[in-house]
Amino acid sequence: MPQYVQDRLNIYDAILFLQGLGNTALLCVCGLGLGLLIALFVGLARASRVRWVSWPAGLYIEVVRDSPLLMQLYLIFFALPLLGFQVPVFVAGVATLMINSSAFMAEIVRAGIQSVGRDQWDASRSLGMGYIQAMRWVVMPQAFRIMIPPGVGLLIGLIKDSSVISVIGYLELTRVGQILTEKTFLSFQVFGIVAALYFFLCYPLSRVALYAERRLKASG
Amino acid sequence: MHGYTFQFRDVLLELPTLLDGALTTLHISVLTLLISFVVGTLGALCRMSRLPWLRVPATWYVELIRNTPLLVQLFFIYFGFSQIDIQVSSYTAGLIGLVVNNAAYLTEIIRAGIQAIHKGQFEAGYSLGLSFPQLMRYVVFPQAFRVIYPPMSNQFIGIILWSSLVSTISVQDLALRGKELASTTFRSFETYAVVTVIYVVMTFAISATLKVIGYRVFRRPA
Repeated sequence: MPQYVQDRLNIYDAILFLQGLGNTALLCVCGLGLGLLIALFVGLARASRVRWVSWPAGLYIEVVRDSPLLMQLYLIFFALPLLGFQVPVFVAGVATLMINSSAFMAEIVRAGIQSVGRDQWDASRSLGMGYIQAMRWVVMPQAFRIMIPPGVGLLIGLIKDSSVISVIGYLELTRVGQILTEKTFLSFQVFGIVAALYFFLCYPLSRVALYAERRLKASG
Repeated sequence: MHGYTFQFRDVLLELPTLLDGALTTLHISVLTLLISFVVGTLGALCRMSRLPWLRVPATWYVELIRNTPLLVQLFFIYFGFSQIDIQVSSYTAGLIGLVVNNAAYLTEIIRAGIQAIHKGQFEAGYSLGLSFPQLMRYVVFPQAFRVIYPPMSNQFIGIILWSSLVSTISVQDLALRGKELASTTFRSFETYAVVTVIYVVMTFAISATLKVIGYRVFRRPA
């Protein structure tokens, strides 16, 4: 066995795992935050009855949902520098997660808005509210309730998807696993720990999603 | 901007290589779906079983798989095999990883499909003297399949897209062919754009076909 190979994991590796966990969380928070912002606009556009507003939004959603995350990441990371943008790995990772999650989130926003009855719209318009006011005070508060369970599900998906960002070398949890596997050759143990840490992030959220869904069903 | 000029020529000349990769992608995806369907059916039956030694492991299998990333599962299997000195090709490791992952999702889809069937159907079957396998074969599955079909089509599209991750353990699929082509032609943007278009066209065509089939087969009101 070569000199640099460790035969077991040590305390420094534990710190590396935690750092990876933190970076994964950071990626997801940034990706989700920015993704939500885009999704709000795309979702509103998709729910619009004006053709030339809803159609491009639909195209965006379809193309993003029908192409692999890995290709979106490669396009952003390897291809944008050729067009003159230098992107650090973290920015490329966040941008990818942002674009990917925004398409899925936009559908959730659309479904939420469309679940609110038309009479609610008509009522708020007849009270003299404009589009933005009606959205802000009448439709969105009702739609939001419906958006929570699939929204939490999407967050779980995002945490899992962020593992793909390891491919371009950002030091998140999966990348830490790869590095430690190369160092120790203990793949079962290392990826077992990595999987356990992801589980530790996702499992509580999946319980929350289930709870939210049951409450929504119970309230009718 | 440097005033970059797009050149798709080098990439398009290698289109046959990319399409060959697309064939591998389809191949591994179809195999994954078929094997996962069998495993998922068994999983769903275990998950609904009254016997705790069947139900509890099946439940934990589903929870563990659905709450960890596919990429980590692939690495666990691929590098894990080499740690315990079992020689498997990257294709086999990739297929096993995809099946282990998707069978968990299909377990839930199939379970939901079976549970959507009215209790009276089970009671009627039993009172006709059908055994459990007969009941499943002749009464439950034909009806459940109608419920299962739409989410299973979506799952298949998901398999095609997520199978791109097996390129990280060097399966020669569309994604890996694209990556190799990008590094030999130095036309990354053009290559990944073409590869993405192939993925989009493939999934679009397949999901449209599956919708038509679904409409033709299940048109009768439920």
